[in-house]
Amino acid sequence: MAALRFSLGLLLMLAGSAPGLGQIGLSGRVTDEADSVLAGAMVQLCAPDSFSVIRFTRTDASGAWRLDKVKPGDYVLKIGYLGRETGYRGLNLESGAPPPLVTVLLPQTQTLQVVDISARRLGIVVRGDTTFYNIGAYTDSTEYNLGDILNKLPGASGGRRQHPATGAGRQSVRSFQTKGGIQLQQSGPGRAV
Amino acid sequence: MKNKTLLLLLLTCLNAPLSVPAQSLSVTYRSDLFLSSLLNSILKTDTFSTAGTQTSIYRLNISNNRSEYFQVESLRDTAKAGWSYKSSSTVIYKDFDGMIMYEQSLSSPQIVSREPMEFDSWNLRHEEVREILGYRCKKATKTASATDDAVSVWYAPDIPVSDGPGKNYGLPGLVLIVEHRFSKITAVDMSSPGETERIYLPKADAYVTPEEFARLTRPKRD
Repeated sequence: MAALRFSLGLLLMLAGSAPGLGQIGLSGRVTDEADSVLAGAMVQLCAPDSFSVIRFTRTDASGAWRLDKVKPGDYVLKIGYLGRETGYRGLNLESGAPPPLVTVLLPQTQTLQVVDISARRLGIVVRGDTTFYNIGAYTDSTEYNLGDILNKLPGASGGRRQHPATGAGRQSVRSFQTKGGIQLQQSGPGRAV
Repeated sequence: MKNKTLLLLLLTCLNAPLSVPAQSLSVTYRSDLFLSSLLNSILKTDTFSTAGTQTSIYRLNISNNRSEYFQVESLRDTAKAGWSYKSSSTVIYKDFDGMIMYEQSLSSPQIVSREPMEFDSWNLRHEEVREILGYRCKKATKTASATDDAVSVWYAPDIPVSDGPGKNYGLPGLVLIVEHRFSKITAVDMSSPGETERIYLPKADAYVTPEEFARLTRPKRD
């Protein structure tokens, strides 16, 4: 695939200045190194500082493009084509100057082959004195609430009891004890038990 | 004589510029039609505040300087109180080599409109920038000639195609969002198919104008 590098030959011709106005007719042709034309390539004349598009056009079926009435000054010419890397060239257009000849060498965008990598999720990771549970490794979309998930964690034991403050059937609390002595609690509206 | 003709043909082929096929691109758009605003505008009232939104999924396929834009499915219809917008199903084709846009009716494929594509009607707003699908996008605006409504689009200068959803094109980059007071079209996914598939332009015995097309394909009342 490395051989797919190609060159984009860009011939810039200053077709002549508009007398009195100092404006320039800018034109060119976009091809690859095999002299195959790139029809439909996007040619953008950008401001050198902000890269804002001042003027733009597209190459025609013969790979040619033209921008009329360009004011003398500094520009960045940006050439884009689907599947190719974008080319940039700085331009210093001076009224009455000889036409510049610019050749841009661009590689074709490399499309990498998709590689599938499968691995088992790590459920528990211990870092220092902290145990991290990857809940995603234990869930299977059958869980109703956090308590159901916690019940599946290894080393955790769960239970349900009435909430002493709110009375029977109004509120339930699920508590869990892990091996490390950490207690997790979930409270919320519950069914009568 | 035959050899001479073959030699001439060979020389002609060698001299003819070869066109490099462009890689193709497929963009999925979500279209939200704001029924309340639409109904209020049509009926010149402000009573339809809860008519809801009609959402559809569209796809823009771009390949070899041609594109096709069509509805994939009606994703969700949250229209309330029985209101819904019945649109005619059409496919919009653009031929960037010939600079011609076509629209074909799916229910009556023999009805095809054809019109020249026009560029340079957008007002580029360089100062406004936002990121869409990981691309740095810039804003452009214009006034729709038919309805005199303001249309805003966000386009990605780093995607070198001058295309977009529907009849929103002609910018120095792919249009990813279209904002209008009745609707919003947002790009939600973009992929580059490995195989470049040719897009075939619609053919008709007699092409109609866009105005005639709108009249001929207008949804009939039930």
